[in-house]
Amino acid sequence: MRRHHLFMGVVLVSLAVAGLVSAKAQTSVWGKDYLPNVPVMSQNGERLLFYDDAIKGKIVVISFIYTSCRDICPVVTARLAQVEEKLGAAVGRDIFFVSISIDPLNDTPGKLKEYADAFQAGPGWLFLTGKPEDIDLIRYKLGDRSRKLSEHRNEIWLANDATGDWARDSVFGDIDSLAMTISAMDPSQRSQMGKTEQPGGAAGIPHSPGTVAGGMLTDLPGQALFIKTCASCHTIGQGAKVGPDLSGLTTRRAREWIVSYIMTPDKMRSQKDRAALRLAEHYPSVRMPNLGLSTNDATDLIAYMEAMSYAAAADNKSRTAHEHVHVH
Amino acid sequence: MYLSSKASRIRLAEAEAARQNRLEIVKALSHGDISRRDLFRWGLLTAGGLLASKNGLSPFAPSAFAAVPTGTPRSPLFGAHKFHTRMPRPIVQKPIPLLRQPNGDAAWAGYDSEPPAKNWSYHTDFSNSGGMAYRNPVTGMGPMEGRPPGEYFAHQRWNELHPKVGYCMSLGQIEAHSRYCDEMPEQDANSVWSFGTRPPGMVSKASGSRTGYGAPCLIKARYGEPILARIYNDLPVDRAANNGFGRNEISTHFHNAHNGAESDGACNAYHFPGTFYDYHWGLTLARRDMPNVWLTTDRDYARKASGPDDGEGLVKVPGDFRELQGTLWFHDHRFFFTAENVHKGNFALCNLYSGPDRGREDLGDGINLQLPSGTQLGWGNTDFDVNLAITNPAFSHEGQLYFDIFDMEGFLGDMLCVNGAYYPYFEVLPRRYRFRILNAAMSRFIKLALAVNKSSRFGQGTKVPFHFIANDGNFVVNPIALTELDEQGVAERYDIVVDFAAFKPGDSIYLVNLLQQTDGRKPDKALSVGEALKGTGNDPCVGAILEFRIVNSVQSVDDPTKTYNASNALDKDRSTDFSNPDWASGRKSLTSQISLVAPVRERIIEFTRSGGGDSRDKFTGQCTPDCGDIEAFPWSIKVNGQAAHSLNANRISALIPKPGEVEHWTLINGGGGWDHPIHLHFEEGVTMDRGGAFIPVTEKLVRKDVWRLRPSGRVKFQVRFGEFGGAYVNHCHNTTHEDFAMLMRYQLLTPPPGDPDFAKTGSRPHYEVSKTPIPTPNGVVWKQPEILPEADPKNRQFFAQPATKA
Repeated sequence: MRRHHLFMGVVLVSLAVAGLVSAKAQTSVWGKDYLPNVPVMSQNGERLLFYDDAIKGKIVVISFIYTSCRDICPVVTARLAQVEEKLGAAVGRDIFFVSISIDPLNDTPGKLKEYADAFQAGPGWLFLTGKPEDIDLIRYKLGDRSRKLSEHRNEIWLANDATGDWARDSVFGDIDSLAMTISAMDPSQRSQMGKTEQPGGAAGIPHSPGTVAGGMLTDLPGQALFIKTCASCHTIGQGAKVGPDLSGLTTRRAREWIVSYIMTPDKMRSQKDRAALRLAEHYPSVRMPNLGLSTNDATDLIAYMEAMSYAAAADNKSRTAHEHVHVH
Repeated sequence: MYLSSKASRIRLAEAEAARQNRLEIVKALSHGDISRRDLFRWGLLTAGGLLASKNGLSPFAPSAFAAVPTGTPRSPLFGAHKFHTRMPRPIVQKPIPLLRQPNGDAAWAGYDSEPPAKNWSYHTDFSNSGGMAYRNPVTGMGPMEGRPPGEYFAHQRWNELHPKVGYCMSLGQIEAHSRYCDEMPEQDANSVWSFGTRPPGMVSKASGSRTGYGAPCLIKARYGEPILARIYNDLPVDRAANNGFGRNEISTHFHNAHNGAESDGACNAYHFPGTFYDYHWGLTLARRDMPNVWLTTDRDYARKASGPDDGEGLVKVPGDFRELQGTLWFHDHRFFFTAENVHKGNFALCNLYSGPDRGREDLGDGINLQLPSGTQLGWGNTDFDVNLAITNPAFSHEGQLYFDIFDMEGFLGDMLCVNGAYYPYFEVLPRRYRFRILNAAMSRFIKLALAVNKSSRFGQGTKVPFHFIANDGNFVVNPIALTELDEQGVAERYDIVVDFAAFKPGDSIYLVNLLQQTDGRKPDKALSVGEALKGTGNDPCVGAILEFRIVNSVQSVDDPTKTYNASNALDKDRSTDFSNPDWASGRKSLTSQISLVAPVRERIIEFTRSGGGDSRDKFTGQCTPDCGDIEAFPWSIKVNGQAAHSLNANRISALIPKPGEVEHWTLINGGGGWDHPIHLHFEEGVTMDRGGAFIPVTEKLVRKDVWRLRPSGRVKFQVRFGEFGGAYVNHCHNTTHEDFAMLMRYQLLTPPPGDPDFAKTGSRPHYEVSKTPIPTPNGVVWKQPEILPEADPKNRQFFAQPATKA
């Protein structure tokens, strides 16, 4: 690049241009002039304008979904639901979630409502559909330029329309970090990041890391995989969530069945496996996705589920014994 | 379509009008000023709801008028002409001597105002002071050093490789009056963020400092002289002040230097405006700890493993000379923002000099290869050894550097620049030159050739032959005679030697890009030199990108008081001539081959866009809602035949349990519609094969750190890890793809206490796994990984067997 230019004429012209630019730079490049303000419909049947009602002046977490997606997208939504839970009361007040259906012909507001309910999405979370051409424009503008539904982007966008700050992120990182990154879209929250209240009211100071020891519930290799791929929909001994409670699974079903259901649930449904179909009936909105897991992964998960079921049962037993005095 | 500058004025005016129309229409539509019905009536909207590709009106049509290849309007050129701007040379950074203090610190000689460099981060002192001292001087919040605190982020082998020279650098806003060529406007402070020299003790400003240069910086490093690079973040504190793209949080990855993980520039170890990060670039020669693998059958093996001293001697270093590196670069690696930040200018160059490659052509010590370089300096001459960093920018309507943050398939610019200049020219003498060519674009692949533009002896378009000497900074064993290069993906470096002796002053040669690419996912096709020189309407980046003008005399850059004259016998070319029979026959070679051996383990890593094949229901034949491929996670891995999911980190990331073991890795591109340049951090691999597919001679058995996988392709290489520990990554270097998690982490574990090698490596804490640092403006916080990032298979704590539960 040229440095310290000597031709005055050119310098003057470019100063004029630079002047224009800096005046313009006050408004966001990716704000109202960029984002389409097209009509969309929410899961509750409200008619909204995309920019004015979903984005303008807000901190938003944007994802692309379609309800018939059977692979990664339910996991994306389920993990976003976990983030929503972590963010607590801020969602709907300071932070808004927007999931845009990229299959608007199939995804009616009614279907989106069922889908939202399956993930227990709160009032701060919009699921949007609309006319195909309007949705096309939105998703093109927001970078989902995929040619096929199944190639759609599973990354998410974090945006603060008030500051014009846009950031890509992924739900497959650490959930706590993601919640932190989302909160930090608000500059005033950001300046508080890393401060923790200590007894006595002094701001806490980050300390040395130490190493990873303890803190995890078990040492089993399946634990991390369970937390990452299963825990957003399933618990072990804490009740049904998006999908069934997996406590005692190995006592209810054959090991071979579990392995093949973990690896290829779609195949089992199409083979009309009775148990698989019954599960689809019980949990109609979100079907167990094919996550591309290997036999090793399934084995790890089963070992972890067994260990945790055992722990959960022991825990229940001791609690029951403890509560026995009061309840009966 | 792209219009050449030869198109008629009327045609150009039409194009500009259409561009404006399209902008206006899209804007009016999004504002609701006009309706879809209006557009339909005007014949501009198709039944499917898409803007017709009429005069570039459609935001969807990939080949619409003025929309190739950026997907946005063509960059305005303000009347710029190609080959009117002299090519800038990279700006050589001056080393500052460091003085070892009794407490082990390294003080900046002559600069008391600059805090000395330390083994442990100043963040540790900040934390220990209860946050009262060692604060970020700009914000008053958080520590002044961004490197995480504690032993895990202390410099490995600090005392052993104590830094002798320091570089105090700034990543700042572009200097005032910087432009890509005379005709184009000056870049705004926040349009380009790049490296520059930072005067030690300089005071940063919350609004940012204009310390960045318009041409890349160059560090001349040499083996045996460890470096401390202090990199200040001098960007604006307000992170929205970015002119539309780029994040003011930075992490500097020294692309494939052999450094400890704390100095690798990890994507999650970024730091904030007002802070610095001390990177310890020890310039370790790989296999330092493994004398048993050194090539002792070569009688010069010990002298070849060396760096140049200031005179004519060598400074020997432990290590295997076959692992010597040369052409390197460093660049931003901030997670999710790498593409934006590198496009914005956050990269610089490093030439690493050694005994065999000392950058001096007139010293015949039996070790020095006497490659074209110059004679003015003891080492590191650059008069005839020229870095060419090729970037691929685009510009907004106002002429400011532009990036479409929403282009997730890989943003392509619509022009190629060299060393920060718009289609420059470079004056050369009729003699041999070495060029170090770096593809510093984000998503664009290139393929280069040299062709005659104007000559009294040769016809226009005649290909100019050259010798290929290094791939990704690693010498090939024998120089390879070529007339065009292989494709070159992002971050790949090719070193070539060109002999201009057949030309006369007044002649002119073009460096030509043959590769057409209109889609961020992969290139379309290579054109012939003749076709490329004519240009194509499909891609303005095809054609000549740099003009070499043969001249009689050039001024030295190494000693500006010196002028080389082609007719002066004293200035004659003293560099090695590869057409000499000793070289042509292979009797002389640049280095020796690292032999392939049986591996300790084999890993197969498949990068995917689509995993399990067609999603059509195998039984009903139906698709819901379309017959796409099954979506999949970005990669999966098999170790010695055992498969695991990309998220099953305990299995897959127990990666490198001890230093020194030989592994064979196969990288597979599962997606046919994409090509990915995959980058392995920290170590180079000896390229073995590409499955059954053709492997070019510039790759076969050649050491590399970035491999283009090719659509549906694969590549296999041999690699050995050693000397340092910690977390590194292996990822796609299409910097947009990299931001989308085509990134896998691997951990090198060093010997644990009790192991005879524990003391030797000095990588004390790296036998175990740490919590993950999360940088915040108030300092690093630590996160228990939700996924244990990795574990030592020998460590029962992490690899307890399920049977123990009972």
